[in-house]
Amino acid sequence: MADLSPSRAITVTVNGVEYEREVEARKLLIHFIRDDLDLTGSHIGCDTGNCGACSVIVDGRLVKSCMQLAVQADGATIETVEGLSEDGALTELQQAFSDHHALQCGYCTPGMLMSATALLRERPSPTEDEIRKALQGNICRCTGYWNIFEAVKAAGGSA
Amino acid sequence: MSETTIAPAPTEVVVPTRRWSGQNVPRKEDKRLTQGEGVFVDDVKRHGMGYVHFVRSPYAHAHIVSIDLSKAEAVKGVYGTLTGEEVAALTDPFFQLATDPGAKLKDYALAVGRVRYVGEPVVAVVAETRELARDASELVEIEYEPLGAVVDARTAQDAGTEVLHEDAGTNLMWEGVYEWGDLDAAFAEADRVVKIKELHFHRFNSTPLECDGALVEYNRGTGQWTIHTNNQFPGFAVIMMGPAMRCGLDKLRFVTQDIGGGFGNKITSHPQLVACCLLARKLNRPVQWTEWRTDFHLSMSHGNERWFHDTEVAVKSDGTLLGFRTKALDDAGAWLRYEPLGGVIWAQVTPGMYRWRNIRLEFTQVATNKAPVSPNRGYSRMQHL
Repeated sequence: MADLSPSRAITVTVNGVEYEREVEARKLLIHFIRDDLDLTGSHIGCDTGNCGACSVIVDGRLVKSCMQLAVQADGATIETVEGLSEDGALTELQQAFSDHHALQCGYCTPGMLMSATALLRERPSPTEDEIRKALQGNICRCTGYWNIFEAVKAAGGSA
Repeated sequence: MSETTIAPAPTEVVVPTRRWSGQNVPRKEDKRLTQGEGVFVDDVKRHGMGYVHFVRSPYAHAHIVSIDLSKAEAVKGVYGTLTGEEVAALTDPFFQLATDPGAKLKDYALAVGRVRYVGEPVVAVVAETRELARDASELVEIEYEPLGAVVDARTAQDAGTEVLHEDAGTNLMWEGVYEWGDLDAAFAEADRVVKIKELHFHRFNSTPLECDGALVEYNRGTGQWTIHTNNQFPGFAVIMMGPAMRCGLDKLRFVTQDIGGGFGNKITSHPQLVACCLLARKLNRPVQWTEWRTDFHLSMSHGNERWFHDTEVAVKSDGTLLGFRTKALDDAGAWLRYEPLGGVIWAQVTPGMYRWRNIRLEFTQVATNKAPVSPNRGYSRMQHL
């Protein structure tokens, strides 16, 4: 029988937990995170790197995890939406999303939160233009952009 | 102006709602959704589940000459397949909402003998991983004999045009006349009549960020399927699926949780759900289907293309619109699925949306070699109102 799926072992640290897994060489990082590690907070919207629902932070850099193979993340430290808050309490950014009605169906929200988190680490008090630029890679089909912008602005202390 | 031709201006009723109005009402789902703890359909997993991938038609219209599954089934990690021939043996056609000739359509979960739009599911392949299911699907060899395609609803009924459904014998699927109020009086009262030869609303596709999907389990002991799905109208899906699958509705248990946008597109996934049900039973394992974005754009329930021909509007010099008459033509795509409700409901809601009180609508719906349609962002094609 034909074997279409050569694989190799990788080690990654996700939200502070180290995982060692055998993965198919062609498996995307997002499918590895969702299917193999069962961290289903990061989502898939477009399969093409356009929507940003799969955004995670890899070694401190914001990455669309559908645009990277899992094997490329070997040795990496990854942060996903599940790792944002501690002890179940919402972070300031997550609370701002709720306060400003920055989510409706919630499907794009994890990606939005990761993009905003990456921005706020680099620019704790971003300008409006910087917020818009940071979110330009994330699509919300409930079209709640304005409220998402307001939430990030509030979390950045410039509301 | 007669009082019967114009509805009274709406009376504004102000109810004191100080407790709620102007207040920020926290949503109970925000906490889990912002922490990545939502449960969307693709998040649901079961031990040993197989991933479903649909092999889709590359032709708008063609006979299926032969299907060779041997190479796909030989791949390590492929659990099994489903063809239209099996579906036709195991199920009955979905019942039709339309009266004749649309009522005669024989619509199944997979294409049987013939494909009628690009993206129509022909074969389902189930494998250990989603990547493997997709790769194995590319090894399915299907020979087609292309037929002429019907792409313009305006000429779909012309002599010599290819007929999509031999059972119906015509590309006309449904027609109906809706009359409301006193149109003759409205035109008699009009200061002028506006005539519009053709209004055209193009086909479109609303795009929820989450594609369609399901995880289906079959319990051999009880004969019941459990269908975790983001189908946004399980009540409709179940009445379509039960009779087709020759089972009671109690054998189809739907579980829906978070949905990443619906917009109407997710009403008509029942054919794919039937395919998943048959596969879960055939392979004796849970099966999981998540549509790829390309598949969604190709085929999952477009918003219908519609024309209004020979429209005449009775108007007063002060701008009051007294009534109109028109001939509406719908391009329903290759199968009716939720149709002809696009026309029927539009006819019902038109007088409700505005103060129109005198209307005559002649609705015609035809089949073309395009993906089936469904409601898209608003009941009954709100874009046309």
